[in-house]
Amino acid sequence: MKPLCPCGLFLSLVILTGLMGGCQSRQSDSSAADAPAVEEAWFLDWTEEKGIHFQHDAGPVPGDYFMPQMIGSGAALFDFNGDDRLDIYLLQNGGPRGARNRLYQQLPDGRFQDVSEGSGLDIAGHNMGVAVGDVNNDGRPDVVVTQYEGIKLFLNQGNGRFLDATEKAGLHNPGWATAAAFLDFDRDGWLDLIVVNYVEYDPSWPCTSASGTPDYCAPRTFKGRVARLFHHLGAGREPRFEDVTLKSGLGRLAGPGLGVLCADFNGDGWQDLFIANDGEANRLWINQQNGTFKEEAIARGVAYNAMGQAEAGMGVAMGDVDGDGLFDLYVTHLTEENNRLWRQGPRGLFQDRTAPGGLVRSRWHGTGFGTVLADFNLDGALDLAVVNGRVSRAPRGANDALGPHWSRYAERNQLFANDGAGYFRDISASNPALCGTAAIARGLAFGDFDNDGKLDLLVTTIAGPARLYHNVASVQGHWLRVRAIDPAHGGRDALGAEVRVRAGERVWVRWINPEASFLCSNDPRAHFGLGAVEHVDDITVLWPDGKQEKFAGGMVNRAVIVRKGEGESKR
Amino acid sequence: MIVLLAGLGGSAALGWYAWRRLEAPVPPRIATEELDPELAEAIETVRQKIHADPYSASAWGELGKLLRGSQLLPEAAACFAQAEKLDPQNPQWPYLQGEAVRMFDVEAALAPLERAAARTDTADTIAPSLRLAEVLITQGRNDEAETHLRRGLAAEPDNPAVHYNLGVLALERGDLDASLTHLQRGEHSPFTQRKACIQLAAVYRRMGKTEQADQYSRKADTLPLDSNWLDPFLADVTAVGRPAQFQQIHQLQMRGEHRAAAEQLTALIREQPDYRAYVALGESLEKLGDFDRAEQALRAAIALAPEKFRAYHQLSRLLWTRASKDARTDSRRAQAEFEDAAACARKAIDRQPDHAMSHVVLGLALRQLGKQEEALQSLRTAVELGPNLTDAHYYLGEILADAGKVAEARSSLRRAMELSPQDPRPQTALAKLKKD
Repeated sequence: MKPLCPCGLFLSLVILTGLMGGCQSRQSDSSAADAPAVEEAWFLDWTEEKGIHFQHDAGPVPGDYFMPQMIGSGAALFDFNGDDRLDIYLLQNGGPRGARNRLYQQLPDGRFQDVSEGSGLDIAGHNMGVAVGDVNNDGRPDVVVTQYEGIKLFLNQGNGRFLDATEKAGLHNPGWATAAAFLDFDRDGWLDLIVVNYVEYDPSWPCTSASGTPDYCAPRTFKGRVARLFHHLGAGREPRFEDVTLKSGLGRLAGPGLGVLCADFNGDGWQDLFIANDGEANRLWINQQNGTFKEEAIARGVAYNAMGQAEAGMGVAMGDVDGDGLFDLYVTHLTEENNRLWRQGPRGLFQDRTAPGGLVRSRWHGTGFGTVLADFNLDGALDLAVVNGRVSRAPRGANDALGPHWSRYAERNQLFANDGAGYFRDISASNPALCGTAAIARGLAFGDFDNDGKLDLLVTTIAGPARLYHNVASVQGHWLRVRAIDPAHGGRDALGAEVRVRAGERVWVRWINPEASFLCSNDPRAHFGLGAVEHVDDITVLWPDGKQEKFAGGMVNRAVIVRKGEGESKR
Repeated sequence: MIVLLAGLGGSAALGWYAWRRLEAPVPPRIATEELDPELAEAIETVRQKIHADPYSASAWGELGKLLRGSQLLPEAAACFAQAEKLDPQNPQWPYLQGEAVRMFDVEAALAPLERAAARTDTADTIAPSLRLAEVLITQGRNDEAETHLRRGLAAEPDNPAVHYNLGVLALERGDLDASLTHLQRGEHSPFTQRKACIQLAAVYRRMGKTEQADQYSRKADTLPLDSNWLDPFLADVTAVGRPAQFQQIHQLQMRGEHRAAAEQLTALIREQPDYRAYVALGESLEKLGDFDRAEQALRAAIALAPEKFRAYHQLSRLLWTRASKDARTDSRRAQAEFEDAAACARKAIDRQPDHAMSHVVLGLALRQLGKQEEALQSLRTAVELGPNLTDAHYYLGEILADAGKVAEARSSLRRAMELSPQDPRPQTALAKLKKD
């Protein structure tokens, strides 16, 4: 056989080398795979089992990219019929001719029954968020729904019926309302109402991304609106409110408001107001104890991030993440920003502690909306859940099941475990039920649905199903659930109360503050994960009117009701 | 033998060339069907340049800059990464890569920015050190950030952005005095004044100096957005395509740079008239005091899209402003303009009934036309819809005073004073009420 020609051999070698090199150079760099799940899941999908069949109506798509489609909707968890079981109210955003809001009653077997029809809460519209509070002190929680066109107040009549009392109550909120919350800002025993408004939206204004693709308008395209404060006028046959927006000082500053939190920020025992603005400075209105408020967000460190930049403020969570007895704040933002953890210290002053909290080290993050700080595994430290969904189109869809329009906005949710010292570890990969499927999540509500001492979650999504998640975390400790009520005011929940549980040197603090997260109203009962503690020494409540009482402690792993006036007075 | 060698050489060259073409890097796939046509065309032009010379770092960089200007960030970053492979000593490529990546993956931005900083002499520019430091701060890597900032400070001791970031770091570690010193160095620079005031407010508050804290808070609220510090690497990153240009123009308007905004808008309209451009041009021209041209622009917008709101509102405001000036010299002309302003305001309100300022303009026009009751109603509506609007309260106060409703007038004027303590009008009007 004739030997192979040298030039042919050389050429062959060249070609072979080229092909091999080509394979290498064409091989795309693959980023490291997400760390495999190494822990048990904390949440499992409970939706089907519990009989909740809710599909969110966001209106027609692709349509005109009507901006309200991108914002709503939230949900409420509350016991509307007083049977000590949490019920669910879910909102629709399909417009006046769209699907109607749904009310689900929890039955004794734990399943839910749709009792919307005839409830009065089954309204259509561009429904954004919901606040729950007993405005007439009759012991039955009432409901405020925020809408693109204003707000509605529904009075709980009992027997599963609610009556629209908006006009009679004098509640007129022109413009696009988003978040709302009840609070007693003047300590008169009657619940007042704060309504956060968004922007002066012009639906005829065309918006695109920087590359020219049609998309939903960004809030900076329009001027923001003022938040409105409605003062309850006190006892009477029917609740009536006065718009004190101007008088209170809140009318001074407008902004594109999306989130709200009512709490005592400066430790003087009076309720203050935090408003998360979308793309502008957040506002912190400090109660001056005379019917007026003074804005102090910049000086107190919660207006901007550490680099002095405004971020897109959407959802708000509060909780004491480092066990120092002071609540901290967590606010959700856009994908290209970072959700922000502000730790309080000293009292009334906050500092951006997102990086030291481990919250910039997650492999992935999205555009956050609903968010909750809660002790999911009962180890005594507050964990963090965030639900995500874009507000601008991604180049590719993330969930084909949502259809070609919505799939481009879908993102996965996230779950973080607290190490006990305020450092968070991303455990999303271990929780596929909650975090595995991309959707356009908005509301995240928390509550103990089965009264087993562990907090469960409800997630609302745009144009998708609402999902209920059962907390199945292996119990790492004990728990206590405290309901603080005021018998003098119809036995309603004492919104704004601070509840401290002490066991030896350790103290846990929670606040009766159902309106948090994004457009949601949550379980109003204070939930405590206590870790290894087996006995509680005492429970101290700082009531909304400034009085403080101490109640006996006792065994753990139970639900407790503390009633104002029945404790040992401290001040 | 020579022929053999020549053949061998030729084969080798051919093989090498074939291998190079086979292995040539390929630009990232970009779905251009939905993009602005001008941008799509520009992308295609540069892609062709890359196909013609796939080993040209500058071609890759050009594509990257084009994509960066249109906020197509992952794609831009991929292009800059390729440019760096081809031109590894040039700090521009890793810098631009990191600068783009930081917008969606801050941690991943660190490595390219570190490379850029390592390859840059701070005597030339401190941009990589500064950008890297900013990213390190967001990651909580404060000591490393400080090292890079100190490098920058050695090269540019008066750089306000460096001082600002050092001030932030000092605040982080609780060194309030040092924080103050650095932040005050940034207090008067257009690149840092606003954020410096924000941080100064927080520092003073932590010091217990509430009055100074309040003072800086108020100042921060009144300042425009800080200008971006002059980044030499981004100097030739420009927006292509109308939407990207609109975003840039919007930024100019937010910073009060209306002359530049008007020039760019005029150029855009020349290429292709559109509603948004006309409305934005009208806004900027009005701010510059060129009312006639502003009116032309807004009427052109209305002609293009009579169903839309914004042009009517802006035109109504413009007409009222001009009529108020004309009223001093030509009352007949002014009356016609007030009529026109009222008509435009009504059209605006038809399209957006809850727009407070439209009701203000309508009320003011009606007042000038002698329709006091209607004017009063419009201003009352304006106050209800926009309780934060000083003008709504002030003008309501004036109309109430005209109508002899003194107590109500005082209340409205006081409200206007509370909203805008620096505005002399309500004070003057109140003083006049007292005299009368």
